[in-house]
Amino acid sequence: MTSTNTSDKPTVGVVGAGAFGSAIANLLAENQPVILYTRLPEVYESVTATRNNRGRMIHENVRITLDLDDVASNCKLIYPILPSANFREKIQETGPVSPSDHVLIHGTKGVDVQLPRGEQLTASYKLNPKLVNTMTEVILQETIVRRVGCLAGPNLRPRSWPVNLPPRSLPANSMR
Amino acid sequence: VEHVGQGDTPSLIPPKFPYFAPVATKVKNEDGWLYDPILPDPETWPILQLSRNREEFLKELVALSIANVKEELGNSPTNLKDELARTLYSERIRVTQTPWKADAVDEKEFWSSVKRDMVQIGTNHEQPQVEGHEELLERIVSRYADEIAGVFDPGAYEFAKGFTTTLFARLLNASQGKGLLRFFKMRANLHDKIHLVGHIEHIRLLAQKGTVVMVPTHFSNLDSMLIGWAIQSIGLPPFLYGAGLNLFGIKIMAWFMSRLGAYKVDRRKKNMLYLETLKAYSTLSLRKECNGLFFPGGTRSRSGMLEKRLKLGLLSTAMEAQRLNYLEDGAQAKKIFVVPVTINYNFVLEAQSLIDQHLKQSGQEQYYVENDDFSTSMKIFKFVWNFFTASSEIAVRFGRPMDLFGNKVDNEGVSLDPQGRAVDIRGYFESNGTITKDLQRDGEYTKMLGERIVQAYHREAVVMCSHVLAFVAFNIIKRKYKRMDLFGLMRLPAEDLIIPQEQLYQAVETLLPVLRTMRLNKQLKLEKVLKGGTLDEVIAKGMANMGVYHAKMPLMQNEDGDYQSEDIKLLFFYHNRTVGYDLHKYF
Repeated sequence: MTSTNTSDKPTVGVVGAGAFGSAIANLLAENQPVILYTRLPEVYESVTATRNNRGRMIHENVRITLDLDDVASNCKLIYPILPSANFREKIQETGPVSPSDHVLIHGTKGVDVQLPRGEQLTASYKLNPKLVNTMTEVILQETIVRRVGCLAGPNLRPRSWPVNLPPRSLPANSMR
Repeated sequence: VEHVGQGDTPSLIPPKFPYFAPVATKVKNEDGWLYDPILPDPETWPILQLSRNREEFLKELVALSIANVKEELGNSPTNLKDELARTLYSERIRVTQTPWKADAVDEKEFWSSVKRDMVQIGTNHEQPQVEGHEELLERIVSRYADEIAGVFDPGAYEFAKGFTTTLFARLLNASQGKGLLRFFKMRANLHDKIHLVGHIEHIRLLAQKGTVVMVPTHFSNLDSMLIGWAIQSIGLPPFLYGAGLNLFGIKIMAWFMSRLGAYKVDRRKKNMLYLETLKAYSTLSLRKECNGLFFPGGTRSRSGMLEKRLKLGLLSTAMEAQRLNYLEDGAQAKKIFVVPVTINYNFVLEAQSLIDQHLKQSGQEQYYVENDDFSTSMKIFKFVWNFFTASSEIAVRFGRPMDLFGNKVDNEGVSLDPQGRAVDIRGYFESNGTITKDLQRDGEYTKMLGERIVQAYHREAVVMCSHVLAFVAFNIIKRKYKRMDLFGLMRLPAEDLIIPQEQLYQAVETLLPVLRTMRLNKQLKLEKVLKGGTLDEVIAKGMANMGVYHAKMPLMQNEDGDYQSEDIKLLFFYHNRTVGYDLHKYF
């Protein structure tokens, strides 16, 4: 890996060290310093010790952290690359540390469904469009950030990639 | 201290937000329900300062407008020449094809002289063309600026204020007894008829911290007068607002508006020079701390629906003013607060012509019919008379104030994030730590603000019994003639528009708990009777207020006790008020 002179460029944040998040962090690191957030201590330790994230190498311009504040206070441009299932929750956590000059570019597929209290999503449930939000809408609802972008790309996670997520709140294909 | 507004109990303040002033509590003074003015001395009103220094202000306005026009044209002399030619062309067409009473007398001469000079600049080779065109630009912009800017006269304002209140109150008295005798007798309370509800205390506090921009819904030409009166009633100094130039052709209207701080907006003039001057006027006045009033729907709602899409031109001037405040005033920068206001009528005088226009144009505003029901002073008088003598009510609801980015603000005007923590909004205008001019970025902010205002309109709209009955009745008829399109329905004869009593009762009974749940979920507001009344009370109140003014009733009870529409177009108009809440699925 070649290292470029990146000291005078602003640091960019990536939240989520999954396959897509790691790829984004590596690409960004070609040009500027990057702080990569992970919620998993084992990923943090592995990357710190060997720069290895479950079989993928992480660029040396990437600094890994377990602290969301670290990302929010050092970066104006942040890429939340999180699964849609716990996206809202994570954004609520970043909300308090996101000032109005932040720019968020998320790379999350899927939608967020907010059911009225006490109701459950079943196969026969009639969804109202007002209950379904895109990730961009979630950011606009939960934070004061208004400059929001979206990054789309191919599915990067191989089948063998270890999944360590809470169970998805939506059954697959329920959104058709 | 008592709580106001029959249409509203004081809403609970969410425990997360201990910062907000209580909703709509006020003190009764000897004049009835009135708030003390926050700025008792007119000398301190920014609007008066603006008018006093009119010459100076106009100079500043012309300079800003010219700068904006040139920037918009990429500072290119060729573009300027083309734009001037376009303006001249459209203005000459306007002068000959749609002259209005309110136009200046020398309109024709002015544009003829501009044409003459345009030609001369083209043939005169001694003076560089650029100079000639810039001079012409200044002349046109100065004329627009002078036309737009009104004059504010505190004496006349005091008089107008007293006059409106007296007129309203006197007319109201007449309704309390039989005949004209009562006109001079009883001292009735205007606020029994016009309910001023919502976040009034909060707005009063914010008006002392920064600049307030009110954005009301727009259904009737009476709105301007009503909102002017409402603003004065809650103790705020007069707001600067734009009124259609066509209204200045009607004497009573012109008299009121030119004295209550109105500036003139001419919807015929769509040329860039005019629009830039108008926007610059708004930006500058907001920067000078004049509170502003825009009808962001742009025009009265033809269909009777709550506004869904807003005109963003004037809203964008608030964004621009806020950016300039931060850029030029640093730490002392004043904030601008947006207050969505819903004006809730049981009936709209112009309903008939509005809905006709809506049906003809299917929602597109392609032409403007000048002669509608509001075109003469007599008709306005008749309307005001009917309004006060009929047992109808109006609710003016002041929504929760927000900053220009849709964030809530506390009593001090500090913006709050969705979790209730204080945030600084200056950063929205920053890139890499400095405030930048970025029209595309600010355009997106304005669009988002528009969406937040529309959401607030739905949340803050006060649904009245008559709206519910119209909605129910129209949907019953629509279901009965399932195969017909809207225009087929509109042609149904009156005998096909009968709804059995039982059917209407059942439908209202189904809808009531739905509406009440929606209210608890803060999706809309309800009139008092709708909130807690029985089914009979709701229907009785709704029928008593149903289109009281109209010659043909949108809905009435016939001799058999069944319900019948005499004019389905009107029924459709009033029904439209509550579309957009997904209520039709309950039929």
